[in-house]
This record gives sequence, structure tokens and C-alpha cells, in this order.
Amino acid sequence: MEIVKSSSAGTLDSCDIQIRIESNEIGSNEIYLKSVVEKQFGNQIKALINDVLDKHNLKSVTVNAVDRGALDCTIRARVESAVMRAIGRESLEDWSVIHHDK
Amino acid sequence: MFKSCELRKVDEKDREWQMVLELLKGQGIGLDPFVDQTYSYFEGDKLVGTASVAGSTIRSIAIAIHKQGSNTLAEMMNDVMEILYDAGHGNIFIYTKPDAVGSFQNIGFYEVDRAEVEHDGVVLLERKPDGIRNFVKTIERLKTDHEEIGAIVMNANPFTFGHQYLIEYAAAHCDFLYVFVVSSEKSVFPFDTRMNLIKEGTKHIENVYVLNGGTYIISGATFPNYFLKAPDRATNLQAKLDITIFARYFVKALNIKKRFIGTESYCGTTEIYNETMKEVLTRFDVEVCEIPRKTIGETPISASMVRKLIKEGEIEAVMPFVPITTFDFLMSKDAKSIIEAIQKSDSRH
Repeated sequence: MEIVKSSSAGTLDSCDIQIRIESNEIGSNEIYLKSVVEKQFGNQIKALINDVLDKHNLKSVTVNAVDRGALDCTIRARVESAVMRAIGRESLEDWSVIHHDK
Repeated sequence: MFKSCELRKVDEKDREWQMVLELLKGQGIGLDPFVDQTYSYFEGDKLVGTASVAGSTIRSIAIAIHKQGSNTLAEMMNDVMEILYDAGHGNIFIYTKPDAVGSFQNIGFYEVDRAEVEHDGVVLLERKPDGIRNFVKTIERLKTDHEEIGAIVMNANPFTFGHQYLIEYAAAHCDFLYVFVVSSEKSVFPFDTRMNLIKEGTKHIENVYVLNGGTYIISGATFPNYFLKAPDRATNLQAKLDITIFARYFVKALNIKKRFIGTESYCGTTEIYNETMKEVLTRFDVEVCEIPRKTIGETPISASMVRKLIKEGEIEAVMPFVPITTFDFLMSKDAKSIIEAIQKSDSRH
């Protein structure tokens, strides 16, 4: 999948995660994470984000993620929204039947 | 989600304006003279924060003492960033003091560079984690394998015989010369025009490459005060930051050995910039070559003098001071709106 524009999803409120997705030129995905629970869950959060990127076959994006203690389901949903916006499918998708699992 | 705080635009006409000034003053933060818009952040009728934006930068940020350490800063910045992203800015910059850097790193900002003068310091952060690194990669593609590589940064507002002489002299004293054009649209001549006039006025010189200075060279992000009339306390710091970024990233990417500047006799801000440059670049093994201004008779040529003549309606009188390419442009109908703008304004640039 190709990114058509940079996009954001989520907020910096407590229990949420803010995602910013941009295309890059290095040919692989890069995830930058700031989290209040980085030591405990940093790797898990990154794996989750990678999962969603893989699902959409994204191969050259930079993700700037700022986590304020979001649950896994929130993280998945925020990344999913940001990806949809970035690939220009936000209004095409039937959001009620999206499967967040692979 | 229920949102208890609200971000509002404020200006000096509003009742809240005084509260915003007091909040900033109480924390020893000045209101940047160069902002496009100031925002207040209210919880009910209590002011809990303020931030201002200028171009793609966020400045003069303060949070009420009793809200520091809470999530208020993050929530306010979230709303301000949304405004900037929606306005189409791809990257967002913050200009702040060293002791505040941690708070902004926590909300996803990454340090570009910092500068210190005596006990004062300033740090530039950006939202793109790989912003400066990507930029460096872009300019690295323009790298040449010449031996002695030189650089000039110019605004050329507009391009005069002075600029042309500086480029000719520099090109003759190195193997290859990069001319970076200041990209900020703070000058009366728009970027595209300034860039074109430089290109046309240097066509006869072979070893010159004219390119966009971009966000990281004398821009609203790295050196906002450049566009101020009178230098102030922050000017030294900003100059040092701008030149440090040039030294650390540009010099390395393009193997620059010399930076050429014209002697400054008109503008205090540029004078500080040039002095700071000598101090910083020497440490990075870059030679700073200061070249006396070209004069016509006794008169040193400068773009500000050309603008002054235009302002006074003496457009034909600029002929001895500018290359024919610039003169032709000034006589063309494309220049009309610019000339009108000069005649109305009283700004330094």
C-alpha cells in the first residue's frame, strides 16, 4: 500500500495514544514511541503497531506514536484509523465490519 | 470524550489578553514578537495555559503553575498541533529553553539542535522524528567531488550587484559554490522571485549551484529574529543555533570548507549573525571569508538601499545598483504588486 498523505489519529489525553504516520524514503518501517509505560510495554506496543502496518502491507512509513497508557484495543483502533487516513480509504471503508484481528 | 478545557484564539483586544501576558511573565517567558496567532487554554473561567504559533513553529508556551506536571500541557499541545497539521504543515517546530525539553520529548518531539550563550540556552525540537536526517539525505544527493567547496546563504531581497559580486568573488575562490536561498516568506520579494533573480544573475558563472535553503537555514524555525528590525537578547542565541545546525548538518553533508559573507554596515542583526558565524564555524574547521561590500563611488550597494529607492518612487534610480535581469523584473508588470507593497510598508525586509 502507498501513503497518499501524512495523517494523525488519537489524542494526547490520558488512556489514549496519538499516532502520526508519514511516508519515508528508507524502504522499511520505523516506529518512534514515547510512552509512560515504555519500560513495561514498549515492545508490545511496537509489535501491535507493526502488526497493523503489516496487515495493510505498508513498507516504508515512519510512525510517531505518543502513548498515554492506552489499552491494546485502543492502540489497534488508532493505528488503523491513521493508516486508513494515510492511504485515503477513510471514507471508503465500512467501519462497522472491520476486523481488527488479522 | 468530555473535554474540560478549551483552546481559544486571543489578541490584544480581548479581555483575556492581560491574563495571558501575566501567565507568561510569571514564568519568565516573553511573548515572541513574531507570532501569527496566540491561543489561550481555559478550564472554565480559569486560564491554565497559553501557546502561540508562527508559521510551523509553536512558541511562548506556558502552563499555570498549579497545572504543571498534570496532562494539561499535552492536551493543549494536542489541540495546537491539530490546528497546524490541518493547516497543511508537514512538520512542527518548538523553540524552547533547555530545561523544558523533556516535557516536549514526552509528547513526541525530537531535538534538532541546541545553542548556549553564557547561561542562556535555546533548543529547537521538531515533530518529525527523522526530519533533519531526511533533509540531510536530500542535500547529500547534490554533493560534488570538488576539493574546495564554498557556501553562501542569502536572502537577496532583491538581487543586486552586491550579491552578484559576492557570488563571483566566492566562485573564483573555491572550486564549487552552493548558494542557499532563504526560503521564509517574510521578505517583500517572494521566494520564487528571489531565487529566479539569483539564478538569472549568476548564469554566467559555471561552478555555482543555487538551491532552496529550506526549513533549517535562516528560517522562521531556526532564526525567527532574522526578520526583526532591531536585534534583541534572543538574537545571539538564535544566530548561534542557526549556525550550529549549518555546521553540524550542511557542512558535513556537502563537505563545505568555506562560507562567504559580505561585510555588514547596515543591519545590526546581520552583524551579530556574522560575528557569531566566525566564532562557531572556526570550531568546525570551516573558514569564514568576509568580503568587503561592492561600492559604486562611495556608496556601498545593499538590497535595503534598493528597496529605499523603490519606496521613494525612484525605481529608475536603482539601475546602477542591480543587474539588468533584476532591473528588467522591476520594470515588468509582475513586480507591480511588490513595488506597491514596499511603498506601503516600513519593515526591515
